[in-house]
Amino acid sequence: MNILFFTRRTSLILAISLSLILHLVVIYFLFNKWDEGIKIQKVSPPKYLQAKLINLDEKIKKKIQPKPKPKPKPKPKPKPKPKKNNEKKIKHKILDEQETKSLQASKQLELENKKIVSSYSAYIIERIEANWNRPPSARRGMESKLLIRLVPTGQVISVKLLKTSGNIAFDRSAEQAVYKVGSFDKLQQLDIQTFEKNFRKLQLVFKPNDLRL
Amino acid sequence: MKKINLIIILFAFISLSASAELSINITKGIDNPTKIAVAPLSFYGNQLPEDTSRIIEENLKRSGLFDPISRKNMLSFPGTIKDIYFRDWKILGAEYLVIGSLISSGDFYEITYSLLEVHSSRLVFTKIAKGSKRQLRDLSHHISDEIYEAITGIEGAFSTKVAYVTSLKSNNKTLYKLMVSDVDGARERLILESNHPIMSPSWSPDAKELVYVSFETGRPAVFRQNLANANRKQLTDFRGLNGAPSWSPDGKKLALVLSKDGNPEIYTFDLSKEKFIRHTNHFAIDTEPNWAPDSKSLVFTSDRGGSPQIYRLILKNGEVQRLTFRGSYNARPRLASNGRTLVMIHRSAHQFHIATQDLVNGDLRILSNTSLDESPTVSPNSAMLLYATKINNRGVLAAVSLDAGVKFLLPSKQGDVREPAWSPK
Repeated sequence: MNILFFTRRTSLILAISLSLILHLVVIYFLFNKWDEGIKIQKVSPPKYLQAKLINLDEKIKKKIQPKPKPKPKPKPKPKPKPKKNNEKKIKHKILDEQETKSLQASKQLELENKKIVSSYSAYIIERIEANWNRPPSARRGMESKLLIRLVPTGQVISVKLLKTSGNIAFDRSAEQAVYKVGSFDKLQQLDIQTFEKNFRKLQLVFKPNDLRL
Repeated sequence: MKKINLIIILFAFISLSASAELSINITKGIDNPTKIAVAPLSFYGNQLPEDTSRIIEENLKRSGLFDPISRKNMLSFPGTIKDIYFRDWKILGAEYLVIGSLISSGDFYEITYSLLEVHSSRLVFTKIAKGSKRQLRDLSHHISDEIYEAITGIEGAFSTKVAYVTSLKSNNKTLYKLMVSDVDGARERLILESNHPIMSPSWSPDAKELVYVSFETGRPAVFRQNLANANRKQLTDFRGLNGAPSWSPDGKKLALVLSKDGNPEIYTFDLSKEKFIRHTNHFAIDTEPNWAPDSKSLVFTSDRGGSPQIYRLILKNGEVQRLTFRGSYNARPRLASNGRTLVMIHRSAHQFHIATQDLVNGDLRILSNTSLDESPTVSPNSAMLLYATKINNRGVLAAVSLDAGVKFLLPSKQGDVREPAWSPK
């Protein structure tokens, strides 16, 4: 009885462990291939496929950990509406695997997005600096803040002074620089979501650090 | 409770939406001359005695901060704002546009002028200047001042004048003339003519009088002269040196150099009490005094340290501080009206140049690339300075902006020109 029990037990353990190993192997391969698949997808069509995945994830994340700030960027436009309806349902459907996967992906996308935003910001800075003709009364430490509004063609549609430097000529030179650029044409290359999220309204802080005085 | 919650949510929402805007920092720029178009004045009737728009254009150009658009490239000459096609001016590259119209009634003129931003199609201002036919040039300078100040943030100095001394040799005799003109060299006026040297003109703060040194009595003496009625008065008649008068910004005193007690020392002369006070007492040479804007201290040159250097004298307590330490020759100090920029003659590599020293951070900058430069004088807005130099062995006046960005020679006149003095505002 004992022996029988023992053999039965060992065989059972053997069977279980074997199946476990097999499963693990399958899962391992599955994971690896899956990852590669994702990467390939990411390279060619940059946003859409992934954006959908992330979206689920985002809401999950929002509910779980209150860190809303870095997330909003990759949110694609068509999603927001279904968001509210789906949110509750999705919450119940949480799958650990999916979560970690999409978390990774979203992080990557977020990073990519940051890169895009910063490279287009650099373009905006370059255009304005090339057109900013400071008056001789400009001094280090002066600071004017403007709010500008753009349309997706890159065209400037309004310039508003948010904070004066105290020197009217300096403020005027900042406004003039934006008007002189007139249109940030390269922004046309941006997809509309990124534009809406980051470049529709922009704050420009004019604060010279290259003046002698 | 609900209300509070709502408020909190609202707050969170507001702060979120406020921080959501991308903020971009602009820290560099270009500092090119501003492109400006000065359209010719529109008016009915006879040709004007002066081309005001041209005077304005040249004033702005000479400041070095503007690059006026040539009149022959203009597509239209709008006289009123509604006649402006901003696109035309944008194509020309203009950043600003000046238009104006003139109405005359007899010898009386009224100019309505506007400054506009081309790229934003905005009006900066519309103003009116009035005057007689004879004042047309003054009106032009006044309009230039207004435009200059609106765009640069610095008060204009186009309405000011310059005094200078010319000398012309003929038949082994030299004729000296003390002259006053507009800063653009126009409307030159003779103040004094003499066969003996005239030196060191200095303006009264109201720009109505000059003090200067004349040798007409056989030895140097300081004179005071009213420009309007030519009344003059001799102020000093001492043995030895009587020189380098400088009128205090508060108008009450002169600073000058006298050697009546042995060697050159700095004195002040109270104009109402007619009293001299000696301020330095040193065996070295103390000379070339010039006032600080607050009339409380003087800068002067002294070789008490072994080489000519610039010192500051506090009048209240007679305290003397040395200001210059770089180089073995720094002289002829002039303090700009900002009280911070010291202008002087600085010798480097055996050549005399105009240099500035920032009294706050100590920065020394050489502004001129000519040699044998002398007698710097600063514009009342501290933006430009004039000095005398030699070109082809002839004394001429040259101008340079205090940031050394602009340099030009003043239209040459007869003979040698020396000792410029820029009038106060």
